Amino acid sequence: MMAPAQQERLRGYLLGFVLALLLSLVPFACVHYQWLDRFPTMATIGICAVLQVLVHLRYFLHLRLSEAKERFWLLVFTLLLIGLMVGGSLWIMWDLTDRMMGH
Amino acid sequence: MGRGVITALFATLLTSGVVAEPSQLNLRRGVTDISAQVYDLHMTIFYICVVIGIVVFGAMLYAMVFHRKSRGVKPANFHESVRVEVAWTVVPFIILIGMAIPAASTLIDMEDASQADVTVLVTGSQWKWHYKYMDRDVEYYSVLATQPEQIANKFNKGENYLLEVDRPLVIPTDKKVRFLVTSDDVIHSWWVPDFAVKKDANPGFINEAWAKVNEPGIYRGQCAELCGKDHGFMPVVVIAKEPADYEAWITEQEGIQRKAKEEEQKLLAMNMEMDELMEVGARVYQSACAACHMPNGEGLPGVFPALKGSAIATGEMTKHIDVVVNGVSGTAMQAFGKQLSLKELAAVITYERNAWGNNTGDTVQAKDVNALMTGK
Amino acid sequence: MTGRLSWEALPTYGAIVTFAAVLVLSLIVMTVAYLTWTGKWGYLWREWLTSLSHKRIGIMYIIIAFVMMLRALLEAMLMRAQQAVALNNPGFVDAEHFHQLFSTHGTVMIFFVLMPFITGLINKVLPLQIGARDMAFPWLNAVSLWLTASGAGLVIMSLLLGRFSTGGWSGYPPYTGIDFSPGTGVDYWIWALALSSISTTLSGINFLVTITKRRCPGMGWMRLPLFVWTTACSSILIIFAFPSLSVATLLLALDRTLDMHFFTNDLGGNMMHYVNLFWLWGHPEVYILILPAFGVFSEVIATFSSKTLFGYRSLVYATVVITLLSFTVWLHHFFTMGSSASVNAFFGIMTMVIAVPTGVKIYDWIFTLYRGRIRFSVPMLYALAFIMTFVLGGVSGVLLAIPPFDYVVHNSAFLVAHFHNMLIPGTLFGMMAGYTYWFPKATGFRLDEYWGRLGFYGWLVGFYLAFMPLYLLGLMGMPRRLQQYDQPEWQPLLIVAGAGALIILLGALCQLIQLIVSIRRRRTLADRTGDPWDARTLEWTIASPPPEWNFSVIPNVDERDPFAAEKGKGHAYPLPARKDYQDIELPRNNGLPFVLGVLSFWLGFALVWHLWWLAILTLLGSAGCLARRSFQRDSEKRISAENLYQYDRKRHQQLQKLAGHHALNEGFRWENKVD
Repeated sequence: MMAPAQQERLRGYLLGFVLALLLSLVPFACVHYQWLDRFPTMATIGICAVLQVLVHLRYFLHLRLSEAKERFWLLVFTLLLIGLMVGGSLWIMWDLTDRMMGH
Repeated sequence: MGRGVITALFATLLTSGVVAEPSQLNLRRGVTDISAQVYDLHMTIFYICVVIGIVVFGAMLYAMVFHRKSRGVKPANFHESVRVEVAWTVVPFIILIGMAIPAASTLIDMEDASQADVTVLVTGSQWKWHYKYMDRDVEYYSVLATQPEQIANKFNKGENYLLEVDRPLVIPTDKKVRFLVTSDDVIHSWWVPDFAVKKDANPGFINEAWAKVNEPGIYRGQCAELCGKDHGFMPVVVIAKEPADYEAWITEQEGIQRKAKEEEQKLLAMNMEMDELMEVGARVYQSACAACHMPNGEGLPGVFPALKGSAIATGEMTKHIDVVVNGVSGTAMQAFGKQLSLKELAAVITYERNAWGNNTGDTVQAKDVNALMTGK
Repeated sequence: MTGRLSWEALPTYGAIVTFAAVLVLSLIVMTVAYLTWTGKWGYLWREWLTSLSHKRIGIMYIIIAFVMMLRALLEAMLMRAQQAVALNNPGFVDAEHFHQLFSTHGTVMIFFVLMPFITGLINKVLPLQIGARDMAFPWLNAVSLWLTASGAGLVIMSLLLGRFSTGGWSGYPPYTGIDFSPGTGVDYWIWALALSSISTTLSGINFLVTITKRRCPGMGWMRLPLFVWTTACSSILIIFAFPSLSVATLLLALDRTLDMHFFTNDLGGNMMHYVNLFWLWGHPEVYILILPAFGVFSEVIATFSSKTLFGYRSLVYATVVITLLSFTVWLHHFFTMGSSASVNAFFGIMTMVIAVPTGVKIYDWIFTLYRGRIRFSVPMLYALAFIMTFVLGGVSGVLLAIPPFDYVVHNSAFLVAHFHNMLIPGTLFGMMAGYTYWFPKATGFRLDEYWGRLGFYGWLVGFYLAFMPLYLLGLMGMPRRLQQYDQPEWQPLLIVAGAGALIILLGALCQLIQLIVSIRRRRTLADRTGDPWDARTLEWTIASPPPEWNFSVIPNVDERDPFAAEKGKGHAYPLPARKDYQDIELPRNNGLPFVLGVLSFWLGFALVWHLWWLAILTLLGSAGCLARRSFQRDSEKRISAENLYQYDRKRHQQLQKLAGHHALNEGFRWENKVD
């Protein structure tokens, strides 16, 4: 028999695994079976992706905001960098849409 | 100290470039107002940098000379000074702002291609440029004029042999000419140093640039983005003519192109002889096909297929015409239907079917090509 | 069964290539023969290939870097020679081969010379500087090493079978798509990069965790040696930027092998995404490469000026600001791609702003020199040459940051001169300085000064001759990547550049001689004290080379430059009491990382040549390795406190003897002979 603490850990990992799997399958299914229109499909993919990240942080990397101040700031820093990268990319690509043929 | 000598050498190198022969070893001033602005910007910043360099290197050399161990100095123990540190953060910042303002205003000028007098669509493809005058009925390909044998050292070369094209772009002086730049296949970049214009030709995108040339003349440039084997053989030649001369030229071109189209219609009704087709075909093959399939028709193993003895060039004629006219999607084989005239297409296909021992004996006529193109 | 592999893959398309392939093959055969002849295979396996020690791993990284550098230098020489003769002349390298040359040169220099060199130095030094016994994840560290090695192996393989990419080191689609580059070249490039980028990401995580978790007591953030700071920032950049490269190359691989359309023009693809993703990694990469070098120079300049760093705090802040800003400038690599004036202006201004913190660093270093006691030893020569030359490169960088100017010289020889000016006197000189500086720490003997100086002057003079003309050529309008040209006024400058490359090659040769001479004279050059330069940080308190466990007792630090401070106070070599020693555990050697490396090499090879059965086998094998590791229980070995104590006592006695009539606890400053 497993110790209760170990069982608890296993349960955490399994839950995380199932959630991660679901969050991957849903977008694929959305695209494959064409359940929704173009925009709602893209929104679903985006939301699933963000949730996926959170699931990984919570269940696999065991990050909890309550634990330490340091971690909070690390998270803020991470968000800042990702914001720069994603925001910058969106800006650059958006700026180019006028130049695309067929627009 | 060896370094002092080297610095001096370098300084001489740079200053000799700037002072002694300004036109030779420096940025070109170019022939547009914008290119002159860029040149001035470059020189201003260069001089600012020289001053900064003298101060910084001076301090460093002083320390290197006077504070070396062999002079028996004792190291000092200071390690911070907020005032100095703030100063050398703030001062460069201000200098940079000083540089950024004129830079931004030049940039805005460069990007403002509106209200152009003439618009030319520049399309890059492996490895040539296509020019289309948007407000006139003129368009043509501009291909490296040098023959492959010349490049390979077999014939004598002329001056600018790599920068010479069969049909240069012609634009008027003193008029704002807008270039719409795009590509048919991979990324190219249309660059004319004297105009301070370099725009990437991206497939699927149309980029803009413009120039208002002050002096008539011939201006040369090259493709500036790696685009494959003949990237180095994709010159840009622009001739700037006085507006009146330009007008005369473009009207003449319109006439020629109209006549060519009429000729083509006539051509459909007649047959050309094998000899003439082979002669024209050989010429077309050298300029349009030989870059990939090689002058001897043997291609490049693994990259470009051989035509000598190939199934297509010796097989069914319509299939062969189809490949040349429409290209093969998913490969580097372009569609030549729009790049070459009917006569040229007929000639080059005939050539391919009869050269290098492919002796099929077939002659392909303009009407055969036209039949395929129009789906008849 | 054989996929795309056929007899045509053999390197018979040019005499130079065939010669190079034969050369590589014979070098491999000779190495194998030598190892067999001397019966060193067992030793190699036990002591090196299976080692998880950060010190061994560091050395192996640097060996990879030097071997690959030799190849990339020879390629550079070929290109320079070609351009020197290619006026109205096809020269001796055809266009296709020339394009392969610059593609391999760039790829190898960035991914398999500079990156391994940096990773190697960090591996070697980082734990020592923060008073740790090893990296946080030693096994992962070995995996990183062998992934890099397998990537390097793939690049070498491209010389023996098939060809390398002709798409340049940045490999823009659509040209690198399957339509326009149907051969195996781009696949070699993709999979070598993929292996290297995964390896680097793992290393970055390892370094950052080590720095946050393994600092010795008292080693607060504001007491970290600058090299550790720059490593930390570089690791942050790696962690955030490298996934972008991995994604870009893997998507390109999907386009090529599975007929997907991420970067094609049809079916909704967009090649601008590739360009954006590539440079989203590419610009931070520049700082990933330069920051550790900044760290090395900070250490070297402080040590050889016998003075604490001026403006430690501002150096740290500058490093952090650069880290942040380096994520705001990537578009300056593609100003000409069609972005509008506002976008270009924003990224141009951000790029100029990044010059400010970099300038702060330069001033801090100069003020560290000022009123110091400067010793011109080889690492210091590199540092001084760096400051001078790097400023020139920085200035050309500010020029390039201005979009109107960039429009004119982008993709010209000016650009080539600029980034070589940043990477050679910046990163490479930093690595050379670090290599010379920490060599005694790694091996127990110093490198020969005379040959080291010759090597240095070779690199310095060669650099100026090779790249200053390129600045001028770029201004004159010469595009980069030209196999042939017809402008007579370019040729003299290109000949000078060729001569410069030759001098660089001679410099590298001097360094090779230096290594051989130093090994032969290792007794005279021996570093018996562990502190050959009168240095300032923790790694110099322990023996050279350090024992397996680095520090017998984890040190306690209460200020910056702890060793210099202790020497000043006369407590340089304290001997802890017996009760302070505790048993320690170190990771046991493990062969799995090496096996993983070999498997991933063959995986890469299989993916290049479409050998699907091999790909599946190697993938299963790799998964098996990971599973096997998860079940390994007995992965640590113990070293008893008594052993550690005895070791320390013995070393202390030796030091005592060396010090003679001098006061041992003030260090060995008197022993320093370099002026």
